[in-house]
Amino acid sequence: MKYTLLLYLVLCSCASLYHVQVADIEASDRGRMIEVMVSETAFDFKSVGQTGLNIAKRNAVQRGDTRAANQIQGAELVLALSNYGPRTGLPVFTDRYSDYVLDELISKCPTGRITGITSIREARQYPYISGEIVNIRGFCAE
Amino acid sequence: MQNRSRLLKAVGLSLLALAFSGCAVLHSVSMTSYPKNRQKPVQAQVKKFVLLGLNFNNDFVLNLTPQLQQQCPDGTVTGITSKYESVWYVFAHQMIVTSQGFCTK
Repeated sequence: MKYTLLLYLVLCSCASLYHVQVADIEASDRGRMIEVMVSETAFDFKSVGQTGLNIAKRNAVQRGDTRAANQIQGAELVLALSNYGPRTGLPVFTDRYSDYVLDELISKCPTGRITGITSIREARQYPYISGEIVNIRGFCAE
Repeated sequence: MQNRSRLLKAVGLSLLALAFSGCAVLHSVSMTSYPKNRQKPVQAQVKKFVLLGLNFNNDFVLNLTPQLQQQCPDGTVTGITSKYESVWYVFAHQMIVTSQGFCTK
């Protein structure tokens, strides 16, 4: 029973919300609702690297290998410096996945009159991996 | 003995106060162009209470637009300032999204 619960907690994703923006709403002519969602998979290299380094460091300390332990400390510093700075969500290889949101919106609303646009930047997080998502929802005036 | 009980009570009350008072985090603020006519302000707010960080979707945000639209059925809501913040308690936090705008005819 407890393993089922643990498996459920690992497999189900936690949602993070980063940014919300509501655009002008032409309330008298809402039209039909349209939604565009684009996403990119991100890997948590920092956590994976840190876990590997922690295991290696523990082994080195157990062996009494101070030289290896010092080298691992150096690697930890490199890892910390290369992940330094503020960011929204986990880093992805390319952020071009959000460039085609407008094209997709227009393809779903050929009239081009879109109102009440809610833009959401969010993520679904799993262990060591996440889906970085841009979700746009609006109303297409016919 | 009585002093110790008072001290324990004071510490307990302080911890309780700390547990129920939250630290606020401002995540994002955005604004759309402001109208000249700002006679009728409208406001909508959606909240979600999350226990132990277990949040499985952000669908609560989608109630913002209908709330604003209800307050301005025959006009246009413009000059919208959207703010996303969270308030952190012990073992839980609350996500709050607030939008303020103006209903123009």
